[in-house]
Amino acid sequence: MSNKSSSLRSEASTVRSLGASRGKATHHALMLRLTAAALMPLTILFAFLVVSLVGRDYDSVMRLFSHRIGPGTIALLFVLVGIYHMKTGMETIIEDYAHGRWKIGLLVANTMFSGLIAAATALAIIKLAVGG
Amino acid sequence: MAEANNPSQRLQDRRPLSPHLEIYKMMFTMVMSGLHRITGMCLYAGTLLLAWYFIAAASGRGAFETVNWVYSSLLGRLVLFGFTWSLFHHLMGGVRHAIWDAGYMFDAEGRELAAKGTLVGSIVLTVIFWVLAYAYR
Repeated sequence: MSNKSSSLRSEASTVRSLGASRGKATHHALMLRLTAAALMPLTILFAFLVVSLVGRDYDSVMRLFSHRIGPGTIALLFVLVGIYHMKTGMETIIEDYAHGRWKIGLLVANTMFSGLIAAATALAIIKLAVGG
Repeated sequence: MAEANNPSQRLQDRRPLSPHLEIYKMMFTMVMSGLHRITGMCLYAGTLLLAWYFIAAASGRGAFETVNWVYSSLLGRLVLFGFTWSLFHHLMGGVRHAIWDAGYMFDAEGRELAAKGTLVGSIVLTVIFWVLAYAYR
């Protein structure tokens, strides 16, 4: 490099964040683990919610979600954090096995599927919470 | 294609690759590692079951009664049983990965114990869930 002798920047700093992931890999790995940690209590809470939903008829489910804030909050958090975790995990799988055009196509499809499911399910839960 | 005649391209196609799954003897820890990814992919498809329940409930009485009927059927219960086991197995696998991230249980005994704990834990949680589900039905 021509400015090697005149620059105060270390050689490492000139290439940092220029790898294959453009510096986003640490964030990706961290988010996968942070959402996993959040999902540990959320999954247990959601499991209890599902147990209480088993066998309920329509009116009873409507009452549960519209009269109380807890069930909807747990469901919404579980779905949103879960789908973020799912999208991130699937990106890892795709990047392991798919290359070139397949990789790009599958990554886009993964983002679209995750976004669609998250939006539709979240909207449904919010609709239940505000009274069917 | 012109690139196919390029010697360096042909060399790249035949370049040595890292040995993969088929050359190793099947080990318990290896199966459990694979199951973590496979259960993760099952849960990916399983979000459709979750989405269907909430969307049906938000759509009205008829749609909700359809999804309730399907999930109460024998086939529906079988699929949901697989879904809950996948969920709890992936959850326990996550705990195991968190322990490794913290730097523990890397030795042979620790790895075996963690793998066994994942499997036993997932089965215990699944059984508890279904017992509670039937008890509070």
